[in-house]
Formats: sequence, structure tokens, C-alpha cells
Amino acid sequence: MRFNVSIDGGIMILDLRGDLVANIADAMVEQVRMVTVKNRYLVLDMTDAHFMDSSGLKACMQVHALLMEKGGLAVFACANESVNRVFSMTKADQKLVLASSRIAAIKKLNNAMAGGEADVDGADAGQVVKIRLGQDFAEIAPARAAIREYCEQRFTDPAYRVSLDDFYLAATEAMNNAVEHSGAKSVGIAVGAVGDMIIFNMVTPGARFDPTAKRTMPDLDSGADLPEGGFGLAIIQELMDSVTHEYRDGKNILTLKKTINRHKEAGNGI
Amino acid sequence: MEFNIGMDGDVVVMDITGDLVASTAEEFKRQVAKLNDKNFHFILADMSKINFMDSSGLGACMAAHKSLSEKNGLLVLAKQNEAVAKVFRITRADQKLKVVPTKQEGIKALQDAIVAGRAK
Repeated sequence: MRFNVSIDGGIMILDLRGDLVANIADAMVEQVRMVTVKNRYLVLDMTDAHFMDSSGLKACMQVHALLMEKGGLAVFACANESVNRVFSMTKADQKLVLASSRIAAIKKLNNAMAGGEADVDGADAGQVVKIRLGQDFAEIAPARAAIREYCEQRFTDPAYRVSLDDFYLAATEAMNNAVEHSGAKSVGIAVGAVGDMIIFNMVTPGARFDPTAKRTMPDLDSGADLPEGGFGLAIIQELMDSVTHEYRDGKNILTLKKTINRHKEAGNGI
Repeated sequence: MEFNIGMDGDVVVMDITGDLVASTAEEFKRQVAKLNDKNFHFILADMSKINFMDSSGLGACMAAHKSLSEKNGLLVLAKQNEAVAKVFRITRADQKLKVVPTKQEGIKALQDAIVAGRAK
């Protein structure tokens, strides 16, 4: 088993020559650690591997975690059927970013490095606000202000305020999650209106994170300490008409939809 | 985010201006912790100038409530606008934390809690 490190089109590539088994797994992780000191994107070319055991799988997961911690991404190029079966049997294929060839892996990584290009299908041309979000909570307030400005130009009647407030909150929770959990340095957001519906589309490069799995509000009656977190995804589900997630080419594509209704009595709060 | 802190008898009145969100939640918790450390355990948070709050802001209120309760104190949240009140309502946090419509009601609730504490 040997490692070969190369650069292809600015992408760091680590070739594995041979099978990925126990006696090589730790060395591979160490090799990745060394070559990614100044890089956070890596293609691990495993197309020569014909066998992988659980130690090899564990090493792949460690490589994935290592790059995610850096806010980067590892794409695993893997053509062998038996190796791919290990990924699918263990559901690691839902966590790792896999590609069927080295070329496909480079393409996926290039897409991820470019950041997400969000868009809203069906919105009027020129009527979509596009925002790029970095890895900083402080960038969310200006993003929300841009979304608010767009929405208030489109829905001017004050009777829309309650619906719009729901949308701003859900969009903020989605952005909070991207900043806090994705590790992505660049998140693409697009907001547009189609008829009376506002659509929020967010593209986050990195590991799969599906927020559409049923999320319930934290239990406040459990007798334990009141929870300080875990509300965000439940709030999104509660307030939006539709929440969809798709994972494609190493990117999470989240779409929130909300029909903006008039409320006669907006209420004065308490 | 700005905090204007004053006293009404034994009650600390904290006027908060700005959004209570992920980027400011820690600041709110720090302010409450500082007061708690100085033995001010009965705090009224006037939320009328908070235009927007997310789940991180809610979490900060939960944390502040917890830290004051541990010292037998109380956090009262007053004058929430509709958008802020909705966050408490849909999460049912309004049933666990003391939320009141007016500052006066908040101060009364805190004064009653202080008297009740002294009577123990």
C-alpha cells in the first residue's frame, strides 16, 4: 500500500494504491492530516482499492471529520463494487461524499469550493435577491435585512406582516443552522416570490444534513432543566408551508416555501 | 445590542435594544450572569425594543431563567412585540418562563417574589 500525493487543477489528490485495511488505515489518516495542513479540500482516490474493512471505513470517516472541522470537504472516488457495498451497508454513503471516478470527484469538489449557487425557479426575472453568507453569525443580520427589504417591497400591505415575520424567523433559523453546523465557508441563498408565495433556497456545501426529518419541539415538561437549544428546526417546520431538502454533488439544497396571507388583526403581542 | 440597566426598589430593570439572536445571545447571558454574580437575582427584562428574536435568543432567556432560579431569583420578560411573543408561544416557553404584558406587572411580580422569599 502506498500513497501518492498530487495536484490536479488546484485540487489536492491523495491516491491510495491497494486495499484499505487495518494495517494501513491509521497511516492514511495521518497522511491526510499532513497534506491538509494548508488545504481543506481533498480528493481521496480509492479507485485502485478492491477491498475495504471496518478499519478502512473508520479511517474514511475520520478523514471526512478532519476536513469538515477545517470547514472543507473530502470527496472519496471509489469505483469498486465491494468497497461501495461497505459504504452503503453501513449507511456511510449518506454521510460521506462519494464519486464514481476521480474526474467525478474533482468535479464535485470544484462545485463545493465554488460555494452554493442558490436560485428560485419560477420567480420573475430580476426579482430574486441573492445573498452569500460566510461562517459568521454576524452576517445573518444583514442577510435578514436584505430578505426583509425584498419582501416588504413585494408585499406592501401591513396585513402581510404576521406571515412575513414567520418567514423571516424560519429563514433566520435555516441560516443559523448553516453557520453553526455545516462548516461551509460560503453558503448561497436566494429568495424570490412566485405569486403569493415566498421561496427561500439555500445551498450549503459539505456533508449531508437533512433538516426535514420530523423535528418536534423540545419537551419542556420532562422535569429536567429547560432546554436551551433544539428549537430551530422545529420552528421552521411549524411556520413554513413546505420544507424540502435535496443532497446533490456534495451540497445540501434546502427550500422553504411560505404563502403570504393577510391577517386582519396582527395582534399586539403581550 | 444595548443594555440600559436601572433599579426599581430591589428589582433590576434591564431595557434591551436590538435583535436577540445567535450573534447577541451570549451578550445577554453575560449581562444576566454579571448581575447574578453581584447578588442581583430579580430581573425584569423590558423586551419592547427587541424587534426580532430567534431560537438562540429564546435559548438565552432559558439560560438566564435557569441561572437566576438556581439562586432563588426570578427573570420576568415584559412587553414583547407580536413576533417575539410568537416564538415563546409556538415553543410553549411562555408557559415556563414568566412573561407579562407591562413593565408594571413585571415589577409587581418580582416584588411579590422578593417578599415571598424573605418570608421563607
